[in-house]
This record gives sequence, C-alpha cells and structure tokens, in this order.
Amino acid sequence: MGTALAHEILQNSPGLTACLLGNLAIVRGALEAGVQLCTCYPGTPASEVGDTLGRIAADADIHFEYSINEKVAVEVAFGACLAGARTLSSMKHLGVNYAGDPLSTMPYVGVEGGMVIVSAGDPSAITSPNEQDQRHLSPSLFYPILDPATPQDALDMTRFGFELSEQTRLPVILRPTTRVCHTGGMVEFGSLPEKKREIAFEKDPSRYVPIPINARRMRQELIERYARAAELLSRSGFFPRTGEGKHGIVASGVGYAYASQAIHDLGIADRVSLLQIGGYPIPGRILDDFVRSVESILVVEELTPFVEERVTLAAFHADRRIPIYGKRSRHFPLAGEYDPDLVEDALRTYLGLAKRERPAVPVPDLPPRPPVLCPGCPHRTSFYYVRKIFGKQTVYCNDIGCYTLGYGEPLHSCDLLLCMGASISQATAIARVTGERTVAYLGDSTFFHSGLTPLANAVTNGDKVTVIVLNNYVTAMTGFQPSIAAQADAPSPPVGEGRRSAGLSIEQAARGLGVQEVFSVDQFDEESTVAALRQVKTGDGVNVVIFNSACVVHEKQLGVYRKRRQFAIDQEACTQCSLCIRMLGCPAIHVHEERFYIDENLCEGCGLCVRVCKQHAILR
Amino acid sequence: MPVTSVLIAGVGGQGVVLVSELLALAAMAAGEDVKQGEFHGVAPRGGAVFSHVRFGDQVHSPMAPLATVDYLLALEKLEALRYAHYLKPGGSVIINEHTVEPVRIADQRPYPDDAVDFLSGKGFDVVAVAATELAIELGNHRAANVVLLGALAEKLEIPSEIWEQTIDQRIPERFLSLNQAAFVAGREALRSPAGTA
Repeated sequence: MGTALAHEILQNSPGLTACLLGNLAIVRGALEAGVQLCTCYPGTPASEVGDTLGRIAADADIHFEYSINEKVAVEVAFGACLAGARTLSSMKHLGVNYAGDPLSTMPYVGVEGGMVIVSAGDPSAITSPNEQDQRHLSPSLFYPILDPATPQDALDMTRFGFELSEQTRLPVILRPTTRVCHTGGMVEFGSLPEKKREIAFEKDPSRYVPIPINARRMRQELIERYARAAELLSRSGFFPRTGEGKHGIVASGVGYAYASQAIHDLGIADRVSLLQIGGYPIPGRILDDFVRSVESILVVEELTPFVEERVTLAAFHADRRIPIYGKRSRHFPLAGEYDPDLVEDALRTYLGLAKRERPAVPVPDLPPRPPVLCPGCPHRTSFYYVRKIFGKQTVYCNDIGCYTLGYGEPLHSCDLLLCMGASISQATAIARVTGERTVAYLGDSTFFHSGLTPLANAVTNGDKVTVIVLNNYVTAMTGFQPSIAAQADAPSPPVGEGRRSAGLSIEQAARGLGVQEVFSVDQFDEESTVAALRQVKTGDGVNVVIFNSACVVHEKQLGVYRKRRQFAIDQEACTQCSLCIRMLGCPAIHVHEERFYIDENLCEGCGLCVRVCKQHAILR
Repeated sequence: MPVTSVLIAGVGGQGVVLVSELLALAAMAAGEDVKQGEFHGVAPRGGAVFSHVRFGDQVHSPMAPLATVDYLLALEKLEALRYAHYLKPGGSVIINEHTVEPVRIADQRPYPDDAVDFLSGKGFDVVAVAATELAIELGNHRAANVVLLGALAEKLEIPSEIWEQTIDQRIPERFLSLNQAAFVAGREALRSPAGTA
C-alpha cells in the first residue's frame, strides 16, 4: 500500500484486487490510461502521487520531472499534450493558484492528448495555510472536475479523466482530499494499454495561439465543450443512486463514504435515496431527476456549499419547493473537514432520530505534541545565530517549508507568512515602509520555486532586505523530494528521472540577479556565520546569506549520515536554569523530576546547546 | 463478518503507518473488505500520528465513529490516553510500556504516568506490553511496532499463515528476520501472564 509496494501497481493483471492508498490508486489509473509524461511539484496531501510516478517512471516508460514550480509543471504537461501525449500534473490545492495563469487559458486552447491535473484538497487546512475549495474552478475556468470518495474512485476517475479530456479537448482536474489521498482501500485493477498514443506536433497557429481574435472564437467553442463534459459525466457511472426513500441525500467526496457508512449503521437504507456527486459540472438531468423523486434533500459536502447551491437551483428549475438542508441550515459546519460522527449526527437530525448517547471517556488534560524541528536540524542553528545578530526587534518574514516551524516559542523566527516565495516580497514591503532592515527566510526549493522574482524586484528597488536561504539540498517537509538546488557533491536520493545530476547554484542565481553581497557558509561554523551576519546587518540594499547544511533525516535515509558527537549534561554543573529548553526547543533535551537530560538516542551532536548553556554544563 | 475497527496511535517515527499497512494487508488476505485512514499531518516532525484500520464484509468509512473502536494499539503510553474516547465501552487496549517525552518548549502540562490505571478504571480491557524493551532485546528498538502487532494478532481471528505471508511480502529482506522475531515476541508476551498488567 505504501511506497515499498510501488512495483505492484505496474503489474498488468486486470481483475487483481490490491489494497492501495488513494494517491497510489491515482498513479495506477494514470498507468491504465497510458500516461506518457508526468510533472509534479510536491505538496501534502498529493506528494505520494509524484513520488511514486518518479520511482516507476523508467519502468513504465514515462517522462517524469519534479518541476521547479506548479506553473511550470502545468505548462510542461500541457505543451506535451499538444504534441499528442497523455499527460498528468500533480500538486496540492494551492498549486493551482500558482499555476493560475496558464490554467485559465488552457481550456480555451484545448488539449490533443488527454491531460489530468491532480490537485489535492486539504479541508481543515491540516498541512496548508488555507482550505480553498478548488471545485469553483469548474464553472469559472471551464474545467471538468472529478471528485473521488474512495481509492477505487480515484483509480477509475483518473483513467476516465483522460478519455473525458480528449473527448471535450478540456484539461481535467482530479480533486481528491486528504481523506481520499491518505485512505487505503481495496481497488480492482483494469488492464494496462498495449500501446500508447502517437506523438506528433502538427502546426496550427489558429488553434494553438490564443491571440484575441482566436480567443473570442475559442470562448464560444468552450460553451459547447463544457456542456459536452456534463453529457459525458452523466454516462460516467460516477453519480450512482441507491435507495428509493423520500429522504434525499446528495453527497460528494469522502462525505459520500461517511454518509454510506451512517446509512448502513443506522439501518435507514429503506428511508433514504443516496446520490453521489462524482464530478462537475453536475449533469443537469441527474439533479433534475433526483429533486423530482424525493421530498427533501440533505447535502453532504466539505468546504463551501457548492453542490448545495446547484441542488437548490435544480429544485428551483424543476419547480420543486422541497426543503434543502446542508450548510445553510447548519446541519453541517461552514468550515473544516467532516468526520463520521458529524455526518451521522446530521443524518439523525435530518431523519428525526434520537441523538446518539456517547459513553463519556473524559480525555485527561494531556501535553500536546506540536511539530518541532528535529534534533540536529540545521535550521535551528541558523535561526539561533540570525536572532543573536539581528535581535528581537527585526521583522522575520518566513516561508513555506520545515523552517515555518521557526514560528512561536522558542525560536521566534516567523513574524509573517503567506505563501510560497512571499517571504522576500513581504520583507521588501516592511523594510520599505518602516525604513528598517528586515529578514526573509526561505529554503532552497522555495527559492527556485518563487523566490527569484521577488528577489529581482527587491534588488531593483534597493530595499534593505537580508534574504537567508536555508539550503538543505532537499524538499524536506513534503518527503525529501530532490531540490533543484542540489549540488553535485550533495547527497542525492535515488528518486526517479527528475533528479538533476548537477543542481543550480543559489549563489550564482543571486549574483546574476544583481545582489552584490552574497555569503555562502556552513552555519555550524560559528566564526564565518557570525562574520557574514554582522556584515549583512549593516550592508546596503539587498544582501543574501546562504546556509548550506544537509537535512539530518534525509542523510539518515540515504545511509550517509554520521553523528558528529554525543553530548550529555553534567548534573553537578547544571543549575536547571532551563535556558537550553527555552532557547532551542530541541527534542533531545528532556526534563525528568526537575533534572535536565540529553537523550543519547535523539541527540545528533549539533552542539548548539553547548553554545547556549551559560553554566558550561553540557559536555561531550 | 461485522466491521472490526482498530485504532493505532503513536509518535512520528514509531511506525504507526507500517503496522496499519500490515494489518490492512492481512485482513484483505483473510478475505475482508478493508479501509485504512492515516492521520499524520506534519507528524514526521515529532507530532502525534494515528491510523484507523477497519475490516469486515463491507467498509465504507476509513474512519471509525467515536466510542466504536474495538482495539486501540498504542505505541506510546500518552497516545493511548489521547484516543481513548474512540474506544467502545469495554474495548481492548494494547499499550506499549514506553514513554516518548513531548518536546518541552515552555512550561506545560506534566506527562501523565498512570495511563494503564486510568484506562483500566474506565472499564477497558488493558494489556501492557514492554514492546520497546522486547524490541531492544531483539536488536532494534524500532521493531516495537511489530511486537505490538503480534500482541494484537493474538486477539484477532486472522490465521497465522496469513500474518507470516504478509510480513514476508511487506518487510524488506534486511529487516525481515528482526520483524518476524518481533511479531512472535508480541504474540508470546500476550500469552504469558508475565508480560501483562
């Protein structure tokens, strides 16, 4: 089900039943469709889609790349589909925003080979700064969107997505959410294709160049093509209806799985009619038939009341004045992900059943386990020295990656955060209006993803910004995907074809953009680190410090890690001042009966605590 | 067979996901429908991880409702308490006698040291297994997760051959003998009263 079984999804064994995570089922669906080129930018909860494709790319004869960002990922996949290839591009929900520019015109131009964009949603913003509902892209940009409820749906819908794309010439979005991506379930395999599509780019500028005169024609054609998508969806089998009861339930995504479970557990199958919404645009006839056949409707969908509004419209057009419940009626919350209890409770309310009595097991007041930087993480050392030199008052603009964990206690290294690459723009803005030098933090992958343009912008404007690039040679937060900044002598993971043999130099990129003052140092070397930071603090305009140290966890995975040293706390010398804990938040330092200890299994010997301890109580 | 729900809880890095996969694969091999939901967020950075594995004739939801879980497998003591409200009345808990201190960044609530007593007092059937110690004896503390899976297997009706095949197929060659031994040690710990609390 996990990565070790990745080879299993390459088997040409139609009818085989396997237990796959939703993300792996998506990969299988793409293989069954004969996908030829895949691009991705890693992002939870979609990361395993790209990682798995990367791992099997050579065996499956697929062109694969970890793209520099989602915009490029989508453009590369779209370009290849114009040459006839079936292509897939994978990212998290926010990736479609970064790719918004090409995405908004691609349906106008239209595809040749089928194109599926996987954009995984994150209700409750579990690993994201927001829980955006991508389904609104369907009516606004004319995308057919498929909305799986289970791993089997994920497989079937991905495969179908390529057909739908070719028949409408529209790129198609597959929108699984976290609870589909990270759910393991039984899936039945179809067959792998004997041969893939012919590749040939045939010139036809009037068709591929959306200058206004062509764009206006394309817009007219879109009306018909989008309507055709609804027609094909109506025959897709992704809108199953079960039951003949008068209580209608319309459900999408994992809400459909929860509703199915609650209907079974409550024994109400004979009282309800359940309709799954497997995609958008929702075929008008399906909703029309449904609103005419029931006396009321409860809509079960996460995020915004997208289906609910369409059901309401369908009832209006069918002249059916039936009660429609959902978010508007507060049967469901307007924000956050659903769970089986929430859905069962809503169904009980809807059907007038007694509330469920839950035996109360009071959860004791437990210490939380907030995510923290790992022991030995080079980011902790970077934050420590930067704060030591720049002080408390400096505004620290942070970015998307492990280093976001600089937020709050005890590192205080994240005063602002917005989206990929915004650290530099925000630092620019604060510096310009306050007149004070600001600090921007971002990692190597984020630097190339979207840090170059704001850096050029800051240089052009001469803003007093110090950009700190935390280069650990890998995209660590999302699962150690190769970074474009990886250096020839840096640890290199054996992940797919997307690996570049010699990475790009952050230092050369910064200098190329006109930054005069650039330092590239190892942050564990105190002398050069402090010297560089002192200099940039008093420098003019934009300057850059690149801290280069490999991610400890990644080095361990690669088997190249060597623990530097082992530290322990001298109990005689320790005064229990707790400064080490209050300054560093290192998981290797713990307290037992008011005494401080270093866990020898966790300590990686970075030595930062030695520098912090005023009693000199931490010894090798 | 009606749906059996197992909740597996632990801390990032303890192998919650691997145990969930092994259980899901074994249940599938035993002919059951299976759904498994992983809940890890940013857990690799020291957070709590949990997973639901549900199997039976037909399973729709990857997640069990509150107060319906049959078995809670806790790879860490504190994490057993965090998810106890998912257990059905009288449900079973298999708990690793092992503490992973939460990271201290400031003053915070103390680590509760009475997890087993607390859960027994609520009427749950609690078994404590020194899984981490057993795993260390076998040569690697990381095999504690499979020790606990062995203990759970003792309570489930999945045949031994299926467990053996599943472990053979899923565990990489170089860790296979370790994990086979860990699984057996877990089974034995549950059979012998010395290993229970």
